[in-house]
Amino acid sequence: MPTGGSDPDQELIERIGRGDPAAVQALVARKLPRMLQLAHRMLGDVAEAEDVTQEVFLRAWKQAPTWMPGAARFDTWLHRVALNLCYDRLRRRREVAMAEPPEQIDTGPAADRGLLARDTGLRVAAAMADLPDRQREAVTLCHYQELTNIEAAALMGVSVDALESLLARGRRALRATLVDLRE
Amino acid sequence: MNLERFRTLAEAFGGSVTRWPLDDQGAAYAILAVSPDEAGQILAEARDLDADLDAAERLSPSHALRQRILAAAPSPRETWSRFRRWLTGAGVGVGLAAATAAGMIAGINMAATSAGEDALLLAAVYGSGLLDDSGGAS
Repeated sequence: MPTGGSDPDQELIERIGRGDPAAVQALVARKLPRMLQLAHRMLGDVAEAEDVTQEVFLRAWKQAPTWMPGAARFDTWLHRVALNLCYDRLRRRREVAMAEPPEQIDTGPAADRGLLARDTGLRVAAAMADLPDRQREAVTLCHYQELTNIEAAALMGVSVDALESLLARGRRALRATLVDLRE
Repeated sequence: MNLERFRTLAEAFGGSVTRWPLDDQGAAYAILAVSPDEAGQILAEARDLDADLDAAERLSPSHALRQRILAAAPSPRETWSRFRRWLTGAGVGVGLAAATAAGMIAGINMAATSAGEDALLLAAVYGSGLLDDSGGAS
Protein backbone atom coordinates (compact mmCIF):
# COMPACT_ATOMS: atom_id res chain seq x y z
CA MET A 1 0.00 0.00 0.00
CA PRO A 2 2.45 2.66 -1.09
CA THR A 3 1.61 6.24 -0.33
CA GLY A 4 3.03 7.81 -3.46
CA GLY A 5 2.58 7.36 -7.20
CA SER A 6 -0.50 6.21 -9.02
CA ASP A 7 -3.25 4.29 -7.28
CA PRO A 8 -3.35 0.68 -8.50
CA ASP A 9 -7.05 0.50 -7.61
CA GLN A 10 -8.07 3.69 -9.44
CA GLU A 11 -9.24 2.08 -12.66
CA LEU A 12 -11.30 -0.51 -10.78
CA ILE A 13 -12.95 2.17 -8.67
CA GLU A 14 -13.92 4.18 -11.75
CA ARG A 15 -15.46 1.08 -13.34
CA ILE A 16 -17.32 0.26 -10.11
CA GLY A 17 -18.68 3.79 -10.11
CA ARG A 18 -20.17 3.05 -13.54
CA GLY A 19 -21.71 -0.17 -12.22
CA ASP A 20 -19.31 -2.63 -13.88
CA PRO A 21 -19.95 -6.06 -12.27
CA ALA A 22 -16.56 -7.47 -13.32
CA ALA A 23 -14.82 -4.61 -11.51
CA VAL A 24 -16.91 -5.26 -8.41
CA GLN A 25 -15.87 -8.92 -8.47
CA ALA A 26 -12.23 -7.98 -8.96
CA LEU A 27 -12.19 -5.52 -6.07
CA VAL A 28 -13.88 -8.01 -3.75
CA ALA A 29 -11.34 -10.69 -4.72
CA ARG A 30 -8.49 -8.24 -4.13
CA LYS A 31 -9.60 -6.63 -0.89
CA LEU A 32 -12.03 -8.90 0.96
CA PRO A 33 -9.43 -11.28 2.46
CA ARG A 34 -7.25 -8.33 3.55
CA MET A 35 -10.07 -6.39 5.15
CA LEU A 36 -11.47 -9.46 6.88
CA GLN A 37 -8.05 -10.37 8.23
CA LEU A 38 -7.46 -6.83 9.46
CA ALA A 39 -10.79 -6.76 11.31
CA HIS A 40 -10.29 -10.26 12.69
CA ARG A 41 -6.82 -9.45 14.06
CA MET A 42 -8.10 -6.24 15.63
CA LEU A 43 -11.31 -7.66 17.11
CA GLY A 44 -10.53 -11.37 17.61
CA ASP A 45 -14.12 -12.26 16.80
CA VAL A 46 -15.30 -13.78 13.52
CA ALA A 47 -18.85 -12.42 13.53
CA GLU A 48 -17.74 -8.90 14.42
CA ALA A 49 -14.96 -9.04 11.84
CA GLU A 50 -17.48 -10.05 9.16
CA ASP A 51 -19.84 -7.22 10.17
CA VAL A 52 -17.03 -4.68 9.98
CA THR A 53 -15.85 -6.03 6.62
CA GLN A 54 -19.35 -5.86 5.17
CA GLU A 55 -19.70 -2.26 6.35
CA VAL A 56 -16.32 -1.36 4.83
CA PHE A 57 -17.53 -2.59 1.44
CA LEU A 58 -20.90 -0.86 1.78
CA ARG A 59 -19.01 2.38 2.26
CA ALA A 60 -16.74 1.55 -0.65
CA TRP A 61 -19.74 1.04 -2.95
CA LYS A 62 -21.15 4.41 -1.87
CA GLN A 63 -17.80 6.12 -2.27
CA ALA A 64 -16.87 4.66 -5.67
CA PRO A 65 -19.00 6.92 -7.94
CA THR A 66 -17.57 10.07 -6.38
CA TRP A 67 -14.04 8.85 -5.54
CA MET A 68 -11.51 11.56 -6.24
CA PRO A 69 -8.00 10.27 -6.99
CA GLY A 70 -5.07 12.04 -5.43
CA ALA A 71 -6.09 12.67 -1.85
CA ALA A 72 -5.35 9.11 -0.69
CA ARG A 73 -5.01 5.70 -2.19
CA PHE A 74 -8.17 3.65 -2.12
CA ASP A 75 -6.47 0.86 -0.15
CA THR A 76 -5.35 3.38 2.47
CA TRP A 77 -8.88 4.73 2.69
CA LEU A 78 -10.26 1.18 3.11
CA HIS A 79 -7.78 0.47 5.91
CA ARG A 80 -8.73 3.73 7.62
CA VAL A 81 -12.46 2.96 7.42
CA ALA A 82 -11.90 -0.58 8.73
CA LEU A 83 -9.73 0.60 11.61
CA ASN A 84 -12.24 3.28 12.59
CA LEU A 85 -15.04 0.71 12.64
CA CYS A 86 -12.87 -1.65 14.71
CA TYR A 87 -12.08 1.09 17.22
CA ASP A 88 -15.80 1.95 17.48
CA ARG A 89 -16.48 -1.65 18.44
CA LEU A 90 -13.55 -1.86 20.85
CA ARG A 91 -14.79 1.33 22.52
CA ARG A 92 -18.31 -0.08 22.83
CA ARG A 93 -16.90 -3.27 24.34
CA ARG A 94 -15.08 -1.27 26.99
CA GLU A 95 -18.21 0.73 27.78
CA VAL A 96 -20.27 -2.45 28.15
CA ALA A 97 -17.54 -4.05 30.25
CA MET A 98 -17.51 -1.04 32.58
CA ALA A 99 -21.29 -0.94 32.82
CA GLU A 100 -21.66 -4.68 33.27
CA PRO A 101 -18.49 -6.12 34.81
CA PRO A 102 -18.23 -9.88 34.31
CA GLU A 103 -19.27 -11.94 37.31
CA GLN A 104 -16.24 -14.17 37.11
CA ILE A 105 -12.84 -13.06 35.94
CA ASP A 106 -10.23 -15.60 34.95
CA THR A 107 -7.40 -14.93 37.38
CA GLY A 108 -5.61 -18.22 36.86
CA PRO A 109 -1.93 -18.10 36.05
CA ALA A 110 -1.04 -17.73 32.41
CA ALA A 111 0.61 -21.13 32.40
CA ASP A 112 -2.69 -22.79 33.38
CA ARG A 113 -4.57 -20.99 30.66
CA GLY A 114 -1.82 -22.05 28.26
CA LEU A 115 -2.37 -25.69 29.09
CA LEU A 116 -6.01 -25.34 28.12
CA ALA A 117 -5.19 -23.75 24.75
CA ARG A 118 -2.70 -26.17 23.27
CA ASP A 119 -3.16 -25.05 19.72
CA THR A 120 -0.49 -22.54 18.76
CA GLY A 121 -2.88 -20.55 16.61
CA LEU A 122 -5.32 -20.08 19.47
CA ARG A 123 -2.47 -19.15 21.79
CA VAL A 124 -1.23 -16.52 19.36
CA ALA A 125 -4.72 -15.12 18.84
CA ALA A 126 -5.19 -14.88 22.60
CA ALA A 127 -1.81 -13.19 23.01
CA MET A 128 -2.70 -10.70 20.29
CA ALA A 129 -6.04 -9.99 21.96
CA ASP A 130 -4.24 -9.24 25.24
CA LEU A 131 -2.06 -6.54 23.66
CA PRO A 132 -3.00 -2.89 24.12
CA ASP A 133 -5.02 -1.74 21.10
CA ARG A 134 -2.31 0.43 19.55
CA GLN A 135 0.36 -2.27 19.84
CA ARG A 136 -2.03 -4.81 18.32
CA GLU A 137 -2.79 -2.35 15.51
CA ALA A 138 0.93 -1.83 14.81
CA VAL A 139 1.68 -5.57 14.73
CA THR A 140 -1.38 -6.22 12.58
CA LEU A 141 -0.52 -3.55 10.02
CA CYS A 142 3.18 -4.40 9.75
CA HIS A 143 3.23 -8.17 10.18
CA TYR A 144 -0.12 -9.36 8.88
CA GLN A 145 -1.06 -6.61 6.41
CA GLU A 146 2.59 -6.28 5.35
CA LEU A 147 2.52 -2.51 5.20
CA THR A 148 5.80 -0.60 5.30
CA ASN A 149 6.71 1.39 8.38
CA ILE A 150 5.86 4.62 6.56
CA GLU A 151 2.43 3.38 5.45
CA ALA A 152 1.55 1.99 8.88
CA ALA A 153 2.74 5.10 10.70
CA ALA A 154 0.68 7.31 8.37
CA LEU A 155 -2.44 5.22 8.92
CA MET A 156 -1.98 5.30 12.69
CA GLY A 157 -1.20 9.00 12.72
CA VAL A 158 2.15 8.53 14.48
CA SER A 159 5.80 9.06 13.59
CA VAL A 160 7.87 6.16 12.28
CA ASP A 161 9.83 6.22 15.55
CA ALA A 162 6.62 5.91 17.56
CA LEU A 163 5.51 3.05 15.33
CA GLU A 164 8.84 1.29 15.88
CA SER A 165 8.38 1.64 19.63
CA LEU A 166 4.81 0.28 19.50
CA LEU A 167 5.98 -2.67 17.40
CA ALA A 168 8.93 -3.48 19.64
CA ARG A 169 6.79 -3.37 22.79
CA GLY A 170 4.06 -5.42 21.17
CA ARG A 171 6.41 -8.09 19.88
CA ARG A 172 8.29 -8.25 23.22
CA ALA A 173 4.99 -8.83 25.02
CA LEU A 174 4.00 -11.51 22.50
CA ARG A 175 7.34 -13.27 22.87
CA ALA A 176 7.03 -13.23 26.67
CA THR A 177 3.50 -14.66 26.49
CA LEU A 178 4.39 -17.32 23.95
CA VAL A 179 7.80 -18.25 25.37
CA ASP A 180 6.65 -21.72 26.42
CA LEU A 181 5.94 -22.61 22.78
CA ARG A 182 9.71 -22.70 22.30
CA GLU A 183 10.48 -24.81 25.37
CA MET B 1 24.39 0.86 12.39
CA ASN B 2 25.71 -1.22 15.28
CA LEU B 3 24.53 -4.55 16.64
CA GLU B 4 22.35 -2.85 19.24
CA ARG B 5 20.42 -0.97 16.57
CA PHE B 6 20.27 -4.15 14.51
CA ARG B 7 18.64 -5.93 17.46
CA THR B 8 16.17 -3.06 18.00
CA LEU B 9 15.05 -3.27 14.38
CA ALA B 10 14.70 -7.06 14.54
CA GLU B 11 12.61 -6.76 17.69
CA ALA B 12 10.31 -4.28 15.96
CA PHE B 13 10.10 -5.54 12.38
CA GLY B 14 10.94 -9.23 12.69
CA GLY B 15 13.52 -11.61 11.33
CA SER B 16 13.31 -10.74 7.64
CA VAL B 17 15.47 -7.77 6.71
CA THR B 18 13.41 -7.28 3.55
CA ARG B 19 10.52 -6.17 5.80
CA TRP B 20 12.60 -3.60 7.68
CA PRO B 21 12.48 0.11 6.82
CA LEU B 22 14.03 0.59 3.39
CA ASP B 23 16.54 3.14 4.70
CA ASP B 24 17.97 0.59 7.16
CA GLN B 25 18.22 -2.46 4.95
CA GLY B 26 21.60 -1.68 3.37
CA ALA B 27 23.27 -1.07 6.74
CA ALA B 28 21.61 -4.21 8.12
CA TYR B 29 23.14 -6.37 5.39
CA ALA B 30 26.50 -4.78 6.13
CA ILE B 31 26.17 -5.77 9.81
CA LEU B 32 25.26 -9.30 8.73
CA ALA B 33 28.41 -9.43 6.65
CA VAL B 34 30.63 -8.14 9.47
CA SER B 35 29.06 -10.05 12.37
CA PRO B 36 27.28 -13.01 10.79
CA ASP B 37 27.06 -15.10 13.98
CA GLU B 38 25.61 -12.48 16.33
CA ALA B 39 23.42 -10.81 13.73
CA GLY B 40 22.27 -14.18 12.43
CA GLN B 41 21.31 -15.26 15.95
CA ILE B 42 19.29 -12.06 16.44
CA LEU B 43 17.41 -12.68 13.20
CA ALA B 44 16.79 -16.33 14.08
CA GLU B 45 15.19 -15.31 17.38
CA ALA B 46 12.98 -12.77 15.62
CA ARG B 47 12.00 -15.36 13.00
CA ASP B 48 10.80 -17.69 15.76
CA LEU B 49 8.23 -15.10 16.77
CA ASP B 50 7.34 -14.44 13.12
CA ALA B 51 6.62 -18.16 12.72
CA ASP B 52 4.44 -18.16 15.84
CA LEU B 53 2.49 -15.17 14.55
CA ASP B 54 2.02 -16.89 11.21
CA ALA B 55 0.52 -19.88 13.00
CA ALA B 56 -2.49 -17.79 14.01
CA GLU B 57 -5.67 -18.61 12.14
CA ARG B 58 -5.98 -16.84 8.79
CA LEU B 59 -9.69 -16.31 8.43
CA SER B 60 -11.05 -17.00 4.95
CA PRO B 61 -14.09 -15.07 3.75
CA SER B 62 -17.22 -17.20 3.86
CA HIS B 63 -19.37 -17.63 0.79
CA ALA B 64 -22.26 -15.95 2.62
CA LEU B 65 -20.18 -12.86 3.43
CA ARG B 66 -18.96 -12.59 -0.14
CA GLN B 67 -22.52 -12.87 -1.42
CA ARG B 68 -23.82 -10.20 0.97
CA ILE B 69 -21.08 -7.83 -0.14
CA LEU B 70 -21.63 -8.51 -3.84
CA ALA B 71 -25.40 -8.13 -3.45
CA ALA B 72 -24.95 -4.62 -2.07
CA ALA B 73 -22.62 -3.51 -4.87
CA PRO B 74 -23.76 -1.04 -7.51
CA SER B 75 -24.92 -2.73 -10.73
CA PRO B 76 -25.53 -1.23 -14.19
CA ARG B 77 -29.30 -1.70 -13.74
CA GLU B 78 -29.16 0.07 -10.39
CA THR B 79 -27.04 2.85 -11.84
CA TRP B 80 -29.58 3.28 -14.66
CA SER B 81 -32.61 3.11 -12.38
CA ARG B 82 -31.00 5.61 -10.04
CA PHE B 83 -30.57 7.93 -13.03
CA ARG B 84 -34.19 7.25 -14.12
CA ARG B 85 -35.44 7.98 -10.59
CA TRP B 86 -33.48 11.19 -10.66
CA LEU B 87 -35.02 12.12 -14.01
CA THR B 88 -38.53 11.21 -12.79
CA GLY B 89 -38.01 13.06 -9.55
CA ALA B 90 -36.71 16.09 -11.40
CA GLY B 91 -39.71 15.98 -13.78
CA VAL B 92 -42.24 15.69 -10.96
CA GLY B 93 -40.40 18.42 -9.09
CA VAL B 94 -40.50 20.74 -12.06
CA GLY B 95 -44.22 20.02 -12.63
CA LEU B 96 -45.15 20.54 -9.01
CA ALA B 97 -43.11 23.67 -8.79
CA ALA B 98 -44.66 25.05 -11.96
CA ALA B 99 -48.18 24.26 -10.71
CA THR B 100 -47.41 25.74 -7.33
CA ALA B 101 -45.92 28.84 -8.86
CA ALA B 102 -48.88 29.26 -11.25
CA GLY B 103 -51.35 28.89 -8.39
CA MET B 104 -49.41 31.31 -6.30
CA ILE B 105 -49.23 33.85 -9.11
CA ALA B 106 -52.95 33.48 -9.77
CA GLY B 107 -53.66 34.00 -6.10
CA ILE B 108 -51.40 36.97 -6.02
CA ASN B 109 -53.19 38.48 -9.02
CA MET B 110 -56.57 38.02 -7.31
CA ALA B 111 -55.52 39.56 -4.04
CA ALA B 112 -53.40 42.43 -3.07
CA THR B 113 -49.75 41.47 -2.97
CA SER B 114 -48.27 41.48 0.43
CA ALA B 115 -44.78 40.96 1.69
CA GLY B 116 -45.87 37.68 3.24
CA GLU B 117 -47.15 36.32 -0.08
CA ASP B 118 -43.95 37.33 -1.83
CA ALA B 119 -42.04 35.37 0.72
CA LEU B 120 -44.34 32.39 0.21
CA LEU B 121 -43.88 32.53 -3.56
CA LEU B 122 -40.12 32.66 -3.23
CA ALA B 123 -40.19 29.78 -0.80
CA ALA B 124 -42.28 27.71 -3.19
CA VAL B 125 -39.92 28.32 -6.08
CA TYR B 126 -36.72 27.81 -4.08
CA GLY B 127 -38.13 24.85 -2.19
CA SER B 128 -39.01 23.06 -5.43
CA GLY B 129 -35.35 22.75 -6.31
CA LEU B 130 -35.80 24.71 -9.55
CA LEU B 131 -32.94 26.91 -8.56
CA ASP B 132 -30.89 24.07 -7.14
CA ASP B 133 -27.72 23.63 -9.17
CA SER B 134 -26.33 20.75 -7.15
CA GLY B 135 -27.85 18.05 -9.31
CA GLY B 136 -30.76 17.53 -6.98
CA ALA B 137 -30.53 13.76 -6.98
CA SER B 138 -29.86 13.29 -3.30
